[in-house]
Amino acid sequence: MNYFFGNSDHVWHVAKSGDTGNSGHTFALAKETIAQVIALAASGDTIIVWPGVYAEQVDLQAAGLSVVLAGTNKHHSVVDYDSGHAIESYKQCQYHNLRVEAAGGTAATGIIKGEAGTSDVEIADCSIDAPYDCVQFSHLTTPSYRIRTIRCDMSGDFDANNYSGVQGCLMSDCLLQSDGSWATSADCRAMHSADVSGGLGIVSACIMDSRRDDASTAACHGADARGMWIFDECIFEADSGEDDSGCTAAFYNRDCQAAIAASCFYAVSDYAGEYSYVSTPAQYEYGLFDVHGYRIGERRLLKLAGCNFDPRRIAGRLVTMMDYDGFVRPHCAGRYG
Amino acid sequence: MGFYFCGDSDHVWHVSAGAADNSGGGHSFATARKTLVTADSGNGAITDAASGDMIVIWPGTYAEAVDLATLTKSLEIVGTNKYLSKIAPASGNAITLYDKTILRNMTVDSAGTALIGAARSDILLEDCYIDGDSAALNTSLVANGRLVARRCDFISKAVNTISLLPSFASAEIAPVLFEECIVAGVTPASVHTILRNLLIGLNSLGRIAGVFRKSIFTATRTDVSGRFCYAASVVGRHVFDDCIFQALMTDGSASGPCAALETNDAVAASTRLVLNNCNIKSSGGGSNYDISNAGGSRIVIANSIYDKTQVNGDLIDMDYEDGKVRFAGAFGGRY
Repeated sequence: MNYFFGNSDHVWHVAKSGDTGNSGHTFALAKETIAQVIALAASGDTIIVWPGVYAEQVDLQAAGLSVVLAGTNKHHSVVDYDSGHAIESYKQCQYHNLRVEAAGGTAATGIIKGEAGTSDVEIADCSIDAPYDCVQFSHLTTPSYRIRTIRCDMSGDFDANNYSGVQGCLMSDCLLQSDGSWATSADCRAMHSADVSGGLGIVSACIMDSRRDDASTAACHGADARGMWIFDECIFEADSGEDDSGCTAAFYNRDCQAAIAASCFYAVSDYAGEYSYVSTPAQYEYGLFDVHGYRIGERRLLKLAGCNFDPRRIAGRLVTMMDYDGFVRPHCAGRYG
Repeated sequence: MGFYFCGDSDHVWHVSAGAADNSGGGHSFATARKTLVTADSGNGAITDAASGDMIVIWPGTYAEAVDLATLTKSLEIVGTNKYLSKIAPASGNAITLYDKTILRNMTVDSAGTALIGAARSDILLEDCYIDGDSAALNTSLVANGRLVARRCDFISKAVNTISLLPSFASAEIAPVLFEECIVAGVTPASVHTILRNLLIGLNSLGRIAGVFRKSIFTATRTDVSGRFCYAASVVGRHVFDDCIFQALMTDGSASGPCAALETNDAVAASTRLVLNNCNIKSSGGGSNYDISNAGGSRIVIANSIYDKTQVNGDLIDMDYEDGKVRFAGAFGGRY
């Protein structure tokens, strides 16, 4: 939700027609760069980005600033930075109605990045195109809390997002795409939340589409997850084209307890021994099918209801509601369990 | 995406911590008042506002307790920044709710209870961060009173993060709606035996009826042994759709019960719950219950994931793995 109450000392305008010497508090007196505003703004302020390409890094972390960064056009208010993270987020920041992109190709390029423990961040109505991850709030030891992502388009060459370990991830109405072009040796996932021990989140009405067309043995997953998750009204799609021999899974369960409803799964690969629509076993990364991946009382399990997937293409076990014959049952390695 | 502002007028009051005092008219940022209710060369904005007016809070920390009930004013209070437009008195409760109170896009932070009310109706909370050391939200609702919370975070280190009770004893309901909220309770700051993160209670025959969607309820405590920990403890008629319940303790067998979802109805025949596509987990307690229905209330659960061996009491599970619908309790909470 955007809340705007007119110009004030707490509202800063940035426009390509702006000037360094302007006050920045109206469009007519806009600043020329976002960095000029960051040098003057205080936490709680709102920075309005008028249409144009702003080829600069927005480093709110270094500035220690909690602000609202709001574009006036989702596609034409553009932060474009090729030499590092386009936006280094600080806690309690909100990004609205912006495009964030980069043309470079390093691991630190073109993303909205939160350092360890960066919490209470909202990304809404943004379009993000990155040669690595689009959005990354993942840290091995210090998690982020309460990250909201709403109505965003994210297209990443590695992962569209990396929310591994986030405690309280709420994402809805987003389109996430990854194509693996960052590195043939690297897995690509539209949604990645499996790096560290256990995130916690709810994903609804999202499309997670991962597809690669390189000669790679790395994985291609629509989404992977670790921790506790809910997915509702989502599409999971993985397509590794004709050259891939890595694990291709629409959804890859990496030690996760997840409830999934009203969702579609689709995966395709030329390597019949290693693709699946829904994959549960952690051992799969070692090339094994874990037919005992699901047991009563174990936490690493999935439960699907009202979903569309091919029961012949499952590694591991899951519980699905209402099979084709009307029965409820666990599935196992593509067979009825 | 929406906008909620129709321009400055006599019905809009601006409050800015950067204002010199309250001598300005208050109807624009340039003439903003400095305080909400505290006199300072003039009245605070809320003091002069009338029911139906909007209070715009510019960034800053306003160390004032706002008692809308005593003032009998129904106001819409809107921050310009969810986290930095902050009402945070040095002590005591932050905002005492009155009927038809609307709070948007702001933080309420209190050493006492952040939002407190008694026998209220028509409360609307959107895009707020609410943190109270004694509770984030503690109110009772009148029969047919309504409370709606969307995209809000409720944080506390007290006995209850949220406590909702009927103020009426008759066989009626007070409806509530929660969407995309996070309700998180952690180890109480002072010694409390029981942590009930979300508590929805009863009043004789009076009940709350709620729909909770896409919301997360977590309770975590790491203090000494013998404590209790519940992510949600509810009475009434409720639907939980796409919700996560997680209760975590770290004291192992020395701890008391740890339950992700508990019913606690002294009149067992009156509580009905539906849980759909929920994810439920408890761990670390002396005894762990993903679902504890000791009172014998009726719970229907579908499409949800929990550990069947960690169920206390009865429930109706629509999708046991063998394809049969059954009372889990008939099997002692296990196969």
